[in-house]
Amino acid sequence: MKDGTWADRGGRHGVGSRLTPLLAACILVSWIAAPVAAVDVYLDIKSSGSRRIDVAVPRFSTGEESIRALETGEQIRSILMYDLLNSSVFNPIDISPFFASEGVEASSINFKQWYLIGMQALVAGTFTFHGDEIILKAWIYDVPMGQEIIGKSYQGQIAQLREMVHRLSDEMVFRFTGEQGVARTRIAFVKAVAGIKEIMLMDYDGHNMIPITSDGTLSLFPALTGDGTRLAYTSYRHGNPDLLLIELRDKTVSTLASGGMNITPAFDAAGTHLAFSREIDGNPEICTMDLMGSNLQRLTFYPGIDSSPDWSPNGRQLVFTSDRSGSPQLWTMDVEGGNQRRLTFIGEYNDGAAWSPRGDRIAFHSRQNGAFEICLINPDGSHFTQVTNDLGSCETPAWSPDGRQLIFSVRKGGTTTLMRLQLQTGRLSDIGTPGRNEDWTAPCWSR
Amino acid sequence: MAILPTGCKRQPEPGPVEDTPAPYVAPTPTPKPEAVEPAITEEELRRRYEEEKERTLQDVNFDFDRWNLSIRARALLSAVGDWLLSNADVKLLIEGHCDERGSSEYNLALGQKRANAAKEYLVDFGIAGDRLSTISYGEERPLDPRSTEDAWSLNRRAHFVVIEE
Repeated sequence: MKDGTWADRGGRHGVGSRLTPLLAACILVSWIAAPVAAVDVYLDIKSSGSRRIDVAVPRFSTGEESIRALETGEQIRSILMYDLLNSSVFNPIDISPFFASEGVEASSINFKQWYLIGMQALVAGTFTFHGDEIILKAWIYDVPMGQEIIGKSYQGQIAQLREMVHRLSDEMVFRFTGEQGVARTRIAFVKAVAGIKEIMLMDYDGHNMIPITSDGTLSLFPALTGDGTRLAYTSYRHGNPDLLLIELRDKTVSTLASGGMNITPAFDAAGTHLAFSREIDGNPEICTMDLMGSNLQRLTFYPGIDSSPDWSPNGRQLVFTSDRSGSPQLWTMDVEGGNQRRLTFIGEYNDGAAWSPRGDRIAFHSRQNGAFEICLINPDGSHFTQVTNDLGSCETPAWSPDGRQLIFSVRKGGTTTLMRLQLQTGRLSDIGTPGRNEDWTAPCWSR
Repeated sequence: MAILPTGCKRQPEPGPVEDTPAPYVAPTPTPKPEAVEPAITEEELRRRYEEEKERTLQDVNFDFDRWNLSIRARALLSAVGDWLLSNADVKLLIEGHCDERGSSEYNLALGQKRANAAKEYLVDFGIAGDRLSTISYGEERPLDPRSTEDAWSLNRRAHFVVIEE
């Protein structure tokens, strides 16, 4: 251990609070070394514009000589590489073939060598097995300065290894940006097989997928609260498109709205109110209500379609789809229903609006040449930008909690998959792999 | 309002034979085959009813991204209205459907508008609103799963399901 001091034993985080139905056990997180210069966030290395931080990632080592040890070391490296690459912050470089002879402590690392090949940061670590538990220790280094930024230790069940490495990645993101990483977030989506649609939940990297519904009917439009503890969706389980709320911790289901059509729910940032589209007097209208299904407020009164609302992060405005101009277009309004104004004037079919967590952009899908493309626009109607091109038909964008990425569905060649786009770098990647004859749609991202 | 003469809930014409008190009935020749009409069986009535139901309850189709009723749609709905007038016990569920080209959120709302447009027409026609319920399936239940113009135009529809008769 680096300096033998465990500066903070208060770092125990209850995993149970983050909807981990499979893993009830806790991961113990501790400092090995407190951050240098008593700063919480280490921002010495600046990323300029879209440039990511080059970080060297060796294979994590252990004293044990066994296949299990080799495989675990490789697994840690590979999860960490994936997390860092998908953080939008780092550009991880696998240096495992060249690092073998070095130790993990600052004194034994040849920083000059890593500096000369352009590395700005280096993460090195060890792990040890204790029965069915594993202890993962990691140190993050500033390569140009040859200095340690932080050391951390994670202890948990071997089955929790992925989560432990996700925590390490998020720690690195936090140290270098001051922002929360996304490695421990979850994604809910709709899995369609032969006309049956069920809501699924998985880690942000597509692992640990679990079914949330198993109604054998249509379950549509999942929406997660910011803290990821509740999910609202439209269910046909009672033969009608009703709005249901699931407490993910114990799968308790309550009915929020029934009778007529109740679709496209969206939680506000606080997770205390829902906006959705409800049929009133024969028309789909935007409404808001609380999570008891009470205090229903009708916000639109146009005799056509008003649907797919989403909240601004400050909870004061809504963006929604209306066909009152003759085709589906995005509109915005105050939460009381005032100041309704058209947002999009480009494209003949715009829908699926998602307001960015930072509030500065709105993502949506826009029909271009017969297929949908993901586009962005500012809340004042300026800076219309198309961000996908010919991937297939791209629908229903959802923001990552850090606002750096979008996830959306892509229909191509008869199947629909989920893809993620890093907005700063333009990097595109698949999330998970749908099984045969499966379509994955309608993703939403917990914060 | 034109009520179709073949309304099947109507009782068949009473037979000329049994209740007639006139004594000179006996020597008349045996009735012609048409006069056997009162012997129509329940099954035959049922068959005619089902036939007419199937002929009448045809899907009403719509243009892309539209829920307004075409002239053909109105003609089909008028026939449904007539049939409902002469079959007063029938209650209908009207399903609104869309093709796959729109987005699934908006299509669910659009399907509802299509179902409602058909319902409104029938209510204006004189059918009590409580005999007609609506549901939207958006693009979730295509009649023809192919991605062709023909399939899309079949899938943009209001579909009738008899839920009580």
